[in-house]
Amino acid sequence: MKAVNGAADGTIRHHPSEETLVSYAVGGLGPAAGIAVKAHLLYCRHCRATTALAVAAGGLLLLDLPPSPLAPGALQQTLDRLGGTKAAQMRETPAQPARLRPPGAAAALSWLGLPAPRLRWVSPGVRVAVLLRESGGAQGGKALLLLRVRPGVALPTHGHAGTERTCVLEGAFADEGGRYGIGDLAEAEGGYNHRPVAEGPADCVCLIATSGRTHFAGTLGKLVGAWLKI
Amino acid sequence: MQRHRPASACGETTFSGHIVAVARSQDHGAFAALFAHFAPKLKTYFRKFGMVDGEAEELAQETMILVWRKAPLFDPARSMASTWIYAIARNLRIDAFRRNGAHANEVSAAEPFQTQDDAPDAEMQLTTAAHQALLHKAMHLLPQEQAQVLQLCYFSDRSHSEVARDLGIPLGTVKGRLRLVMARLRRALEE
Repeated sequence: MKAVNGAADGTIRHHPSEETLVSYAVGGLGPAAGIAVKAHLLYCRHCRATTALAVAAGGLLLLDLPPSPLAPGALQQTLDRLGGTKAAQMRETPAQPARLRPPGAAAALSWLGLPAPRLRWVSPGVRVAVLLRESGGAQGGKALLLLRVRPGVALPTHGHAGTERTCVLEGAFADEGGRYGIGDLAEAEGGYNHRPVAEGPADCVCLIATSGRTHFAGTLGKLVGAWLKI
Repeated sequence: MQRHRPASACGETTFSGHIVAVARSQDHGAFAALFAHFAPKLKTYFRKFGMVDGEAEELAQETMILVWRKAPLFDPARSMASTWIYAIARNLRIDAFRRNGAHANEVSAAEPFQTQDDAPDAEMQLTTAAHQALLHKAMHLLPQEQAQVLQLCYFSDRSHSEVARDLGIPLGTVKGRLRLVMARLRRALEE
């Protein structure tokens, strides 16, 4: 993966844990959390290197696996399925995005392969779109949200059954754990209660991957949670 | 847990060369050599995720078909052959998992969801045979308990919590061992 080129690189202060990056590298995070981490990787050279190392480890573990016997004629079967087609002239990912300074939310979303969402008002100063929803496990489903929050506005205090991962795409927010700017990834473990506040001067736009039921304090929060079904 | 012989030191260069030959001239001989080495291991990989024999065989073949089709995208200066093939297999597994069973309709709002692409960065110089040998050696020298956690995290659907439960150790220990592994790999490259 290549970087969204930006002044942001090198100023990232909050990273996913290494074990989260290993999960990402083995494809174990699921789409919602995977996209939040991938967003962080767009901005963070350090975590790209760690991820590359973790994927390389996967390749080496693969080399060490014992072979399983294949069906008779497996190679011929595979060759036949190639159907004489030429190795395709395909391009997998777009070339490095043009220098995006600052890499705004729209550019980051497009780079992540996500359509531009229609944000809906949920409470004063807070607009949300549910980008995707994974079917629930035992602890409730996982979802990926995009939030746009006006400066100075606080989200309702809430806690999580599972890990919540937030990547800032524009602006900044602060909570009990610190201040999070563009490219920072906040990883809140289950049970952690926090009250994020958007900081000025511009709106804070962030991707939030929730996992497990989110518990909100207060009536307004409960309404928001019920509406979002998170 | 069983440990296996390291691959030969020259393997990486040879495999990369084969992929390049497939890209350049649709070289069936090079493809057959890649197939002979990787397809049986890929089948084991898919079986470790609980797939039945036929499904694992099918996905091993599909992986090799993608190796053929995507060969022009392979850049030996940016990626090791084993890393590249592993990433293709991993993505196929994720897709198969999403198509099947309990996780059908998992993604409801943002189809089509693209599988992650994280080809190693050019910034991360992991591509030479020497780097591969250093990493591989470090992995073979991992303490048993770290190697075990690594196997379960790479070759099963288990979350870290599930790995912890299955091994009867705290979740923090699983995470700690993974971090120790990553630290060792990083150190191996600095030597």
